[in-house]
Amino acid sequence: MTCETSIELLPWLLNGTLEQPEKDQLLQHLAGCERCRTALAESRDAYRLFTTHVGSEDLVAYVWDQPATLAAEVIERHLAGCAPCAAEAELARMSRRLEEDANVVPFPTRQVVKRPALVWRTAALAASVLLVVSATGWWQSAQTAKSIAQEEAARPTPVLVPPPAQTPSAEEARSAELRARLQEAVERTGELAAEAEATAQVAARLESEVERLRQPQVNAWNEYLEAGVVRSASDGVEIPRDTVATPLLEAQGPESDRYPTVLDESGKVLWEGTKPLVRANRQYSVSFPAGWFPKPGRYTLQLWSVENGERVPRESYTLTVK
Amino acid sequence: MVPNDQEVVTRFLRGDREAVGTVDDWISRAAWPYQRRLATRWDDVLQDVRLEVTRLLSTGKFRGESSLRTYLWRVVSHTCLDQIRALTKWQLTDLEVLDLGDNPSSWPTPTVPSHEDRDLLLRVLAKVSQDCKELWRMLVAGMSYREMSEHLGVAEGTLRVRVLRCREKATALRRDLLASGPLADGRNIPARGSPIRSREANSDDL
Repeated sequence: MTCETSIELLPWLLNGTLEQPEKDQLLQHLAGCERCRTALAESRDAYRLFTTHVGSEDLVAYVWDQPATLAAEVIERHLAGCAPCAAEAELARMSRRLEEDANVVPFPTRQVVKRPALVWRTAALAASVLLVVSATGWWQSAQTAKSIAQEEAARPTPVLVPPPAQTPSAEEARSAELRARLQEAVERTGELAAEAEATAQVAARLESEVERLRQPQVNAWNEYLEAGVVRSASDGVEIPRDTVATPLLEAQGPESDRYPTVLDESGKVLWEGTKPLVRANRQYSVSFPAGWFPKPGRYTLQLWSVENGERVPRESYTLTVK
Repeated sequence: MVPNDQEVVTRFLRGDREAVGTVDDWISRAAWPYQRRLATRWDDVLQDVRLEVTRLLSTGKFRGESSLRTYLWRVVSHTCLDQIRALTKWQLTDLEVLDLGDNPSSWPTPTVPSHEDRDLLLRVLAKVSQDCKELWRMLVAGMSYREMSEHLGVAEGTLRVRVLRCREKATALRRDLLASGPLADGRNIPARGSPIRSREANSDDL
């Protein structure tokens, strides 16, 4: 562990939240590093600093407008920036108010229940009684509703006469308001459905992009990124299977676009690139994602050009995947 | 001193029912605002307060420079505040149990700050940025760096560096304040018992 890492971790060593392997490494480092032990002492001082508050006696004296060991402005500045101390000062002010004003009557103290088991049993019993009463009441209401429905069915259907036109009543106004809110809810539902559709389309595009990036990439190599680049001017190149691999290849035939195809040892086409390989300096690249080749072995990178509408085989390279 | 106050103290210490009842009523009323914060151990807190009141009265700490009622009100308040703070007190990892190689006894052990130290530390703290105070508040509350990183939405490395910079700034502030001397920063170090405020002194010991 370096000193930089060690010094950064010291506060969490002190608050006891480092995981054991990290803690063991840190302690091992501290045992042999005086610079970091000095930093540890400074971290402990920082703890003292950030856990310093106005003492309770000074806080009470301040609230009671009595002399304190700390200057008033020090206390006030601290209260302005320390929420816990400010909350405590408010509690003390409340207490002082109770001393000074006999007309202020606090709420009665709630008694702590000593037998919670009894309370739970009582509550369960009360709940079951309530359930029985409610169920009985519901059953009775259901029976009443049923008998009313039967009576209504037996009654002849009255002829409804439209009432005379009148000014809108409170019920009609309420009904209009509810219809407006329903309409608003329907419109909002429509908006949310449209948003969900748009999000689904974005997700589908992203998924498609991810799938595309899982395939070999043509001319994706950046000359500033040397990782995984294998240069070869011959027809054979070895590339690792478990990391990104970018063979750099040289064109050996006529200048024209090249289209790549990758075949396995049995000649089965694993991939056909639709983007042409073109580079001005006769070099071109194909980047293979980590783990793209099914297994170690020999593969063929066959390049094609298109002339007069027909595919013409050009260079081919043997890729030995390790 | 109001004669009734001394009489009440004497009778209370003798166990007189009426005096004990009067004092207990004052204690209950004075402690009422703190009850919610101390609800889980309220009975114990009240008992601790009664013991503290009894201790102070029996050792003659009350000298009558304020009314007995006001004196007891303040005792109840600061005792309850101490109880609240004890509930949230952070625990520093005990370095003595860590095997840290040579000369571990040379390291400073945490102590309750003296008044002068506390004054200095509070002045340093007043100059520290609110962001730094927030970071260290979470640390002192026992959050791991992973928890803090998730809570704040920053990378773990960034968080650790920020905490380190805060510590370094606070150390530098403390050094600067110490170097500038006790009067240059406007600090007023009172002699013990002398009033700071303009009101009449009340030096009843708490």
